[in-house]
Amino acid sequence: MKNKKIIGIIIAVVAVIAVFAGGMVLSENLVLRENVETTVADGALVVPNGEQSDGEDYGPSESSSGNPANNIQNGSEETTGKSGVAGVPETPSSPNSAGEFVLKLSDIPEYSGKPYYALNNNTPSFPGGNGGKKYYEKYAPLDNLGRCGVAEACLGKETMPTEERGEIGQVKPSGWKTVKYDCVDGKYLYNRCHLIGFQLSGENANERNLITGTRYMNVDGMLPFENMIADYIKETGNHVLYRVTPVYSGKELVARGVQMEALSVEDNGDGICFNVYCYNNQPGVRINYANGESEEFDDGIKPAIGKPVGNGNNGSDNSASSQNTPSGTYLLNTNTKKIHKPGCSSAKSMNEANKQEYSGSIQDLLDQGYSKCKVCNP
Amino acid sequence: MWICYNIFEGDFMKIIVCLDDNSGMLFNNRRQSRDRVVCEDIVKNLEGEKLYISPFSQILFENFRDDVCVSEDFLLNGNICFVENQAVSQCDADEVIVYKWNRVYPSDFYCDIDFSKYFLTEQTELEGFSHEKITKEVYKRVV
Repeated sequence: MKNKKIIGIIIAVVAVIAVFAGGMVLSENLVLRENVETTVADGALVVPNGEQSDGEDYGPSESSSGNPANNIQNGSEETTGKSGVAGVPETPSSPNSAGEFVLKLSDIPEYSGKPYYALNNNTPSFPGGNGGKKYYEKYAPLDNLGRCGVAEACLGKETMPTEERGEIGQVKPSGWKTVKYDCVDGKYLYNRCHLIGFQLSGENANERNLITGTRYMNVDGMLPFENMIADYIKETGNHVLYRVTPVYSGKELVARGVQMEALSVEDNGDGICFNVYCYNNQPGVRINYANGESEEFDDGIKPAIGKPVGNGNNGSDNSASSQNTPSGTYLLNTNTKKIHKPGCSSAKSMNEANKQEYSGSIQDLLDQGYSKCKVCNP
Repeated sequence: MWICYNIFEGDFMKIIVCLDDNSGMLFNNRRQSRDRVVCEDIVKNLEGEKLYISPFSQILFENFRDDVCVSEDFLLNGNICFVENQAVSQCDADEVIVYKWNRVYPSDFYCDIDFSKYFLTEQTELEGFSHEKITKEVYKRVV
């Protein structure tokens, strides 16, 4: 017990020094791991991480094998909010002196057409499990550059939204610019990108949870992972430890990408287990991450559409969807190059001048550069 | 070790798979998704036959133990096989049933069936337990 307290105090002191030193810049690359303040799902309490030095109830369990299921207290209710230390990750491959996981951008390969890249063999790092809390959410405060930090949660049906999503346009994340390109799905380069998606957290216009993210990262990078978690929770009623870390280079205002980690709790990762980096890029656009400025640019890299077959070693595409695409009548948006079903709700707001009815093969449209509407999925 | 043969020549073989919009099946050796309604629908349509599955899929059919046979080499022995984590193109199945999640999930393992050898005979929609709309498609082999 005494040792734990001493360790906790040391961690607190190191954390305070790090914060006062400007905090988060480590050489050229760094990952924000500031959990100085935490908020919980009901917004009940805000506790500085460093002040929670007891560690007995909330710190990573020394006796724990790393199995988050070991830390579940059956029937325990919502977190008290004293959740500081539980969120501090440790990864054997690259912990820094404070025991924090440091992801170096130099370890991430250049974007080559795939929106995400598996880290650490897809193994996430949640040494403290859920800290004995059935569910919680924590969002780091903005740093002195106005940038988001780590968002972490133990997600469950309890954290999912119970109301329709509201407006978030009032939030201007660091590096935010409103800019449109024809080559971008929906035209707008940037989205206010939730670190923990609305469908998982119900967090709407929380400035600590919104970063400047490209449409590509939002939809092709992060959304599939959020979908997977959301559907898993709905189906099983289980919980998922989840952490999203925006990755900045130096003092840049726009994140280079986000690290997403997740681990299902009750089945100890059998259902959900991943650790990936999503590139905050946009094919066809060059971004100045220092300030969010951008320009059209053809880097010659096409987003991956070919799928490995079977065990992933064969690069040919034998997918059902690509080789047996249906034919029928569709509604096209000639401006956004989207294919809709005739009754699609998204098509109702379409400008009449851009509307075109089409009968034939979807594949022919895809070959012409059209893409399917994600709402109606024709 | 992705070997499968329908060794009983003349037997009818049916393969059942679940796919996302990119024909993905797995990510990081885990199924992309699951829905109890799909399992119920599969069992409901067995018409007295057994469903052959791998141990990996056993958890999905815990409530239907009498209807399934579990084995590592299920593709060698079964006529109706539910496949999640194996390549099946060599099976030359007579019929393929695809349950489409109508979602995009992350994926690193994809369905290897060459659907150009099949034609679509039936398409229905199911309301899932955790999925808004699941599309069930039945493909038969082109003779």
